[in-house]
Amino acid sequence: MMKMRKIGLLLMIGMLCLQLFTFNIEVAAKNYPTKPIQLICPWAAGGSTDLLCRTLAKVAPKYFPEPIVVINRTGGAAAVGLGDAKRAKADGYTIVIASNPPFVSQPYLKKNLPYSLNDFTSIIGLSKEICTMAVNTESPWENIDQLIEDAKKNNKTITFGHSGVGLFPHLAAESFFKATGVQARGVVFDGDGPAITAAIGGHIDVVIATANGLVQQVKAGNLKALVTLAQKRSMSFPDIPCMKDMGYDDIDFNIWKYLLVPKGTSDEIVKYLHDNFKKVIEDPEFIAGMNKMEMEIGYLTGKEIDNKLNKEYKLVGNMLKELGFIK
Amino acid sequence: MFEGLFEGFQNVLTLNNLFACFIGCFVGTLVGVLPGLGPVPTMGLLLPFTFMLDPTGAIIMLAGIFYGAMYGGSTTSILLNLPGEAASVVTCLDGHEMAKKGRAGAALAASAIGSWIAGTLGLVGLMFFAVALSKVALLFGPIECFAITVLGIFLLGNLSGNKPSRSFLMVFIGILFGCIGTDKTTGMSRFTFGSADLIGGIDLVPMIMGLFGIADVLMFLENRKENPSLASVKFRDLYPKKEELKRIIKPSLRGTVVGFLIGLLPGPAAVISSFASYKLEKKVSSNPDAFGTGVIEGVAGPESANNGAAVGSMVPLLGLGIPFAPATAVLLSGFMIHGITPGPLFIRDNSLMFWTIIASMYIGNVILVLLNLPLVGLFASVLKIKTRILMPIIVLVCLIGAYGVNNSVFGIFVMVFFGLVGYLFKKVNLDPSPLIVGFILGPMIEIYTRQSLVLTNGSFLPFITKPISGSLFLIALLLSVLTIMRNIAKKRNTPCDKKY
Repeated sequence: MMKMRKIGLLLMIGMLCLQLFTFNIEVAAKNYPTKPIQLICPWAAGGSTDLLCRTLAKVAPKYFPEPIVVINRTGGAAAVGLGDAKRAKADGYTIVIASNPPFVSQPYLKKNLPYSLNDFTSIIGLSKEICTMAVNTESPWENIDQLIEDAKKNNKTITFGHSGVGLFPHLAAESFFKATGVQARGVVFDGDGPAITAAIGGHIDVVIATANGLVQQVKAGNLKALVTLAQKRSMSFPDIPCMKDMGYDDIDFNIWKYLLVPKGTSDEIVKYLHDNFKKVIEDPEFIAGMNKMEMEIGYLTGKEIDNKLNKEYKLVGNMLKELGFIK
Repeated sequence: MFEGLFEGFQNVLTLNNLFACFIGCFVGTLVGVLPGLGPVPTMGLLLPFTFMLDPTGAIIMLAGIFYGAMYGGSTTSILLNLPGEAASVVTCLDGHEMAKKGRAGAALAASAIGSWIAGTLGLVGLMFFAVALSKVALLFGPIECFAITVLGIFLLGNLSGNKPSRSFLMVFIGILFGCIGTDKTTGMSRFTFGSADLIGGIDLVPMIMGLFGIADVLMFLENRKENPSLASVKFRDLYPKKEELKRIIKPSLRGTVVGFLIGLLPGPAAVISSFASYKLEKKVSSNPDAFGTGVIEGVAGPESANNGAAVGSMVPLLGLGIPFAPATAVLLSGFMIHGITPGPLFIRDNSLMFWTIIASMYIGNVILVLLNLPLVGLFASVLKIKTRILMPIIVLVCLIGAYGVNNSVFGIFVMVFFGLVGYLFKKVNLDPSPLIVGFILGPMIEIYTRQSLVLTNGSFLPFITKPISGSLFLIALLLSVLTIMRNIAKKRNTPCDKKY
């Protein structure tokens, strides 16, 4: 009798285990998030990318059963954070936010980067920051045409401040000055902030930075925006002409922010993440948060991101060679 | 103006704002005390939580963390020779020596009172001159910044009274370590040995914890000497004596002025101002040789200076909307997520918010001194713990701190490396604080030089002909001539003394 009972019990436990096991296999695909999802932000807390992540994480619980947890892993122009994300398990519980320069500029400038574009699968584009040129309020140039005319007529060399070699404000400025035939010299600053400050102090002629970085100073009356270095006008400066208005069809510098997962993550999970994050960025609460920070939402599919990155990678390589930064 | 301040006080004395202020100050103190956890990342991490507060409360809280950290930073410097913040490195020099003599309580109290004096008086400056002074900061372009940084290295390099040759050797080693990372002007990485973790350069915080904290622990391992005098200190003796309190006042006032002025300029003002104040105290002291052996002026001055700098760096933020320091950049983000633009228009259009923030800082400084003074006794009694028990705890705290800087094990490697370096320095009797000066100022000099040369199209002439940079160089020249002459005079005098 006792033996029978024991065997019965064992059988029951065995069946339960079996069931749990098979159940688990199914779960992995269908009920994917069963624990919090890590979102690695390769830039410092408090910066614009970090704020974007935090806004995303704040709205996400409406559409995800599990929370999104933002983790800052800074250093090496995003190399540290991206390297970590690449090494993470491809189970959908580690995602990373990136912008285009780490994939299209840094590979030319830095050897031994711990990641490459092939290590990741793109999920969704979230936002775009638009490169904009601004001058001191006391500058004689009221608009971009005056600047070009003055520089050409009087053979002036314009000094422009930007946040770093190979980053998009730098490349945008170089292409613009080349296209317009204005002589210009770039001054590198340690980020957007110091470059903007130098323009307010009148130490450089113009500054090229993102629209959301400049808009506060323009509102405060310290700077005036002259031109948007992209094909579309920006939300922050709707009255300022863009490259299309000026007839330069191939100058288009936007800093995209998008989400990636390590390569090997299953297609279902990638689709799940894409669909749900799309709902997040269409949510009014997210839109309101982004508007307050003057950041523009920019939706892209994974495929579109890959195409853009590949195209920009070639373009940036040619530019850096032409400018003499790489051989 | 006083009407505005009065309204501000009325507004801040609501439950919500007071609570925000208290939380900010409390978190700030905590973050300051714990090595590795700095105010900047903490403010960044807490930014999203301020979504829940109204904009005024959010800024009150974030600012509280910022200046609150300057209060707590000195605690571990004094007790454990382990700077809680980069701004408290110099406090180790005399603060820890005081602790060794059983005057830890006095040093802690000096730091709290000095911080309070600087915080409160600095606010008066902020209140009256925010708009006027913020313009001063704009006069400093790359060339002027280059000049003032060179002057800074000249003045601060020879800080601890070692032989100048030894101090400047340390400054140069610091500059070399500062070269690791990305060359800002070309975007290329250099001296990284293929390590992605080094592309961003070495983090200051694990470096400081290694050079000071870990090096100390290693020295203890070698000597295994318990500190006998501390265990017998009576509780009452932990607090400062009247005579010591008197000696706090003047250095704090000087520190306030130095800190506030340096806070107006670009760069890591809090760190530099504490070094500058230490140097100043040593210069004006009647007994400069006593510095480094535990004098209270060497604690009160720098600790008030870093608070003065914190308030000073609020001037360009509130007056112009420009963040010069990393911490004020996060504060600016705080304004931004609530859709507010600081600057001259802000003071005019949002005057109630401006005055409420100012009033909250007055109250915050009182909260902080009330929070810190009673803790003096408690903290000081940490030293009663036997050294052989305390040391492993220090190592643990350092490990957590070094990991926490960037959530990475690499920070721990950096700390251990600099622990060994610091140990070697101790063996050959070299003081590592000039190394920190070189490490901070070296990369700044590099980028300012290269920016300036692009702006002047390669000419060095504007460096001398521009009024501000020209006069700064003149001061540097005069000071070095004076020092050399004094050294020659000293050398001539010494053999004579021996003869008679």
